[in-house]
Amino acid sequence: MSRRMRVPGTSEKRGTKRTEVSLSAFAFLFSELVQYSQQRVSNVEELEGRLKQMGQEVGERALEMLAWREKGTRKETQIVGTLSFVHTVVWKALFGRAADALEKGTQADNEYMIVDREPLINRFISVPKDLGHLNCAAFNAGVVRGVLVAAGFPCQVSAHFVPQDGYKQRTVILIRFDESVLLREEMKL
Amino acid sequence: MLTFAVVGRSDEPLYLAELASTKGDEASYHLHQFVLYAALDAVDEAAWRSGTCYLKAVDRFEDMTVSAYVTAGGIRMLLLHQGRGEDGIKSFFQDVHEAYVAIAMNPMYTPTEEIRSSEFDRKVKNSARKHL
Repeated sequence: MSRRMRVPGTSEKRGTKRTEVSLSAFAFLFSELVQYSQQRVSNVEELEGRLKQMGQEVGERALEMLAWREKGTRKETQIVGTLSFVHTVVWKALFGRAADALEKGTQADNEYMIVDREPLINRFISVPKDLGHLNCAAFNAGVVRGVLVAAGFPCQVSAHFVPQDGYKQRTVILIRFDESVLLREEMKL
Repeated sequence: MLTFAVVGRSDEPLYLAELASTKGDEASYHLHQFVLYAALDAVDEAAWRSGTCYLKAVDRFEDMTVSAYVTAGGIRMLLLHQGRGEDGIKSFFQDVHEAYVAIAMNPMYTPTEEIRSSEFDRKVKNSARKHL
């Protein structure tokens, strides 16, 4: 199990060793982020909203940095390519490994899911009963949304606990693309 | 004539520079900016059709050509020129892209804000001298 988290470096040349940050340092910072937000909200939805907003800021920057570093002068113009980029490149850069699954939703045409069996971010978080279904991986959902919106794919993103196969912390990040994205995909095909 | 602009996702002007010394007057500077902005629709169209950042020449007006480059995050870079070489333009855009990533990573910088960094300005001008 990796005990170090990757952080996209700011002044690295392409191809050099990536900087890593200790998991404990990040966990500490994240716990402070959660506590800070908790003091300023009145319900679970607002708390998840704040974490999501913070994640979004990370996502926007991660996209620019990682696309430049990993793909040079190529960019994604389709849903599948962009989601695949999030699922592998972004996850690897932030959490040290690719996400566990990328699936298309069965409920609707515009739904996609990224599954993480054990989100690194929740490793040291325990949610008390009175906060119900709070999932701090709302931060990850924010990161995903940040990447997608910056890449030109407006969407709604949310994180949900869906335990399965003994993984209690298994989190599904649900992505619902706007109508306009689907229309654009159709026009291109 | 060599006018360079960086435009944000919602068409906000982020950076503008006249890279060649022209003996133009106020009116021609405004014309340059106008032509660049008018080219944005063509840039968007080309961007969604292409899997590469460098879009080459996307629009023309009289004897001026607009070449464009789009980053993964949808930031557009536009160059107004009168027939510079493709290779030089591409290298220039790539240098500016790298400089932009450095700006974007700043947690205090939001993507809708004007780029005021003198470092960025210096890099753009140096790259222009080198490649254009």
